[in-house]
Amino acid sequence: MSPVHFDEVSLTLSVRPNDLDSLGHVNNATALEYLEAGRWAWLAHHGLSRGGTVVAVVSRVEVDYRREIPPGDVVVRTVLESPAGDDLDEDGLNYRASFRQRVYLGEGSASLAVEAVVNVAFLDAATRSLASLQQFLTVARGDAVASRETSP
Amino acid sequence: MPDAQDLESYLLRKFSEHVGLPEAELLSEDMTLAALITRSDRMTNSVDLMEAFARTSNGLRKDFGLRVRLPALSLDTPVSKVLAIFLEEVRNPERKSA
Repeated sequence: MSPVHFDEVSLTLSVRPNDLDSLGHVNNATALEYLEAGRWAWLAHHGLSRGGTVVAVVSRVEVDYRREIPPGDVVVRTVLESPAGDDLDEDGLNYRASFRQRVYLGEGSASLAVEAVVNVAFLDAATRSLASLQQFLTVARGDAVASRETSP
Repeated sequence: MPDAQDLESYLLRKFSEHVGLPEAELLSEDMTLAALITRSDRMTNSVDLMEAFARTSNGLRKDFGLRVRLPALSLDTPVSKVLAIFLEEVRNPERKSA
C-alpha cells in the first residue's frame, strides 16, 4: 500500500451566548469543544465515519490560549501533524495520531486565539484494547463492513 | 538480512531516536519501560511508548523488509529484554513471544 495524504480542514463556528463566561469571552473549556468540533469536521472531510468498532480517544492535549475570543465567528483549522508524509503508510503501524489545531478570530490568519496539539489513540470499542491508526482508518472508511458483507 | 549485531545496533539506534533518549542511557541503566516514559521528554503515557515501538517496527519493514509486531509488554520490562524480544521476533516472526 502507499502513503496517505490528509488535507488541512477548516471549520467556521459561531460563538454561542452560553459559550461566554462572566468576562464576556469564550470560556477556556469551551475552546476545547471547538477543537473537538474541528476534529469531527476533519473526519467528515476525509469521509471517515465515527462510532465504528475502532474508536479514537484523546490521550493528551497541549493548549496555548493566545488571546480572548469575543462573540462572533471563529475558524478552527485542523491538520494531522504526525504521522504524516512518508511516516503515514497504510501498510505500516501507528498507535498515535497528533493533530495541530488552531482557532482564529474570523477568517484572518493573523488573529490566532488558541493553538493546540491533540494526541489521539485508538481503541477496540468492545475489548477496550489498543488498536492502530491503520485499523481505525479501515473501519472508519467502511472497509471492514464492506469486507464482512462480501464474505461468503 | 543483516547480521544479529547490525540488527541490534539498528534497533537500539531507532528506538533511541523515537523515545528521545541517548543509546548509552538506555543501556547503561537498563531502565524499565515505566522509567523510560518518566525520563523521556517525548513520552507521557504508554500510548507514546507503543508508538515508539511501532515506528521502530516500521523502520525495520522499510529498511530491511522485515515485519515485526511486538506483543504487549508490562511496564516493568527492562529495555534489554525489549531488544531481545525484538530480535527474537525478527529471527522468528511466526513465534509468539511471551
